[in-house]
Amino acid sequence: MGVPVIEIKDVSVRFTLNKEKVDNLKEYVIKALRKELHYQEFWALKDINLVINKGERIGILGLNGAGKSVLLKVISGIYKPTTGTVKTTGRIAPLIELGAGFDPNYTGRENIFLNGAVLGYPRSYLAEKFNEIVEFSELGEFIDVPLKNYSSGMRARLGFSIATIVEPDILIIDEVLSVGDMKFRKKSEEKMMSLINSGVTVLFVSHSLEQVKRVCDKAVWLEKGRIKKIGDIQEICSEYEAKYKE
Amino acid sequence: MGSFSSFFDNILKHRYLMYELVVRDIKLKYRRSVLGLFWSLLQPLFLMIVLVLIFSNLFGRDIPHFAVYILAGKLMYDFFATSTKAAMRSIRNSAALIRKVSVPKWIFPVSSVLSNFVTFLISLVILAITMIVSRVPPSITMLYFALPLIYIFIFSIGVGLLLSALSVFFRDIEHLYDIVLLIVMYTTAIFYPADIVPERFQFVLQINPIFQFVTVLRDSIIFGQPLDVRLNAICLAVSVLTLVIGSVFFHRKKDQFIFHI
Repeated sequence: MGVPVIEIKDVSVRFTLNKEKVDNLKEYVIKALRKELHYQEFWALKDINLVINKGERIGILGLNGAGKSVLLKVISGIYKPTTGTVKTTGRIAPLIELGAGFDPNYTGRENIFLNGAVLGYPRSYLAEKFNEIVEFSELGEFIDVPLKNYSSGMRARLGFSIATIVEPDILIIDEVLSVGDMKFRKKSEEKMMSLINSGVTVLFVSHSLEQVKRVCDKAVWLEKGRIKKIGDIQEICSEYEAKYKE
Repeated sequence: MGSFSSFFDNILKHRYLMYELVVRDIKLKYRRSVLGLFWSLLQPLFLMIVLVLIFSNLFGRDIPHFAVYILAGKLMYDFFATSTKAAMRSIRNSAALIRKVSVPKWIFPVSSVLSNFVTFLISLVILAITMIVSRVPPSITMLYFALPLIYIFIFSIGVGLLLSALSVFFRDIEHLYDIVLLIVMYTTAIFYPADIVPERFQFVLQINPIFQFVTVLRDSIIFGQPLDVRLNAICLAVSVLTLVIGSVFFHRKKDQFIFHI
């Protein structure tokens, strides 16, 4: 019996969209007085119940708009669920988007500490891992150049290098594996795989079924914000493929 | 209240991120400018010289050490205005970050106020120099000069939290606040003595917390007035109350920010 590290109970996430964007005080007051404030509800996730145990590698499948990213963001704490609870145990490393908090006027070196702080790492840890990060990114002297002078590939490499110094308990990966050139991509995949193989719990979202099949042992199939099916990776992938091939 | 202790734990937990954000604000503020940090010192100096030249004939005779009088008011008001404006914009400015990583949202307005407070403290060096040049007689009352600084800091955080939350939902708050600041500026008696205001309009000054904070500062460092316990108690109470209101409002609304930014 596994140790649950992520427990999602009756979670729903509702977005309220104003029919017409009311984003200033004057219009808000006028419409409120006239009782003209209409909201459209959109449930990005509905009635999600999911328990993920330590060491499991879960692939999250679904079409665009099915709610995959929203689910990941709810688990990482970016969104607070409208109803229900999310309980996580252990350190979460969300590789959802790289370079969070990068300031274009700051150098690569300065951004390593800033980004690291944003991700929750203490200064001492970042100082320790600093050389490792710079080496992995292959940026060399550019590390002391302001980020606005970097190419998008360089930025991505830096973001990825910082993100992978993690020593997490739960790794959440949302389609970030394709950054950089062939050489860097291969290096990143190897790094990812070594992290994954070290026994962390993994949540993986990718549109590439081959990747998902390679990495994961279980799958969660989302459709229109609800869980359609949970099961063994091979089974779910074949069903998923079958459904959308036609 | 259990949430109180977790409130302070939270601050401790995120102190490194706060530090990085404050350092970044200050570093980048001066990075591309030739004068750099000196600008924090020169700008109030120039302004004070200009204001003294213009107004000393009108009011200078009534107020001893007019230059210090003006500078004290100007620096305090400027800190309040720039820190609250920066805090107001902070959530929107950090939208990209908030969408990607789970970060405690209060860090943005609070670090904005904090970084402005640091540059404010640096600019107080000019105040000290002006006091020396004006030969303000040293007095034991100068010891409590730090009190109004604390009040205005706490007050600005409260206002910053409130404005930053409102600004997420209502974009025109920024314009409205400019008008509010204008009124605050004129009623802070920066360059005129408070008693030239007619009796029936005095209350406008009295209800302006910034005016009161400046009064305490001036009493301490210029006029050598003993500590007015009642006034200070009110200042402290208003500041803390504002902080509480700002925090509660912010806390209630923060989970909805992400849907609007």
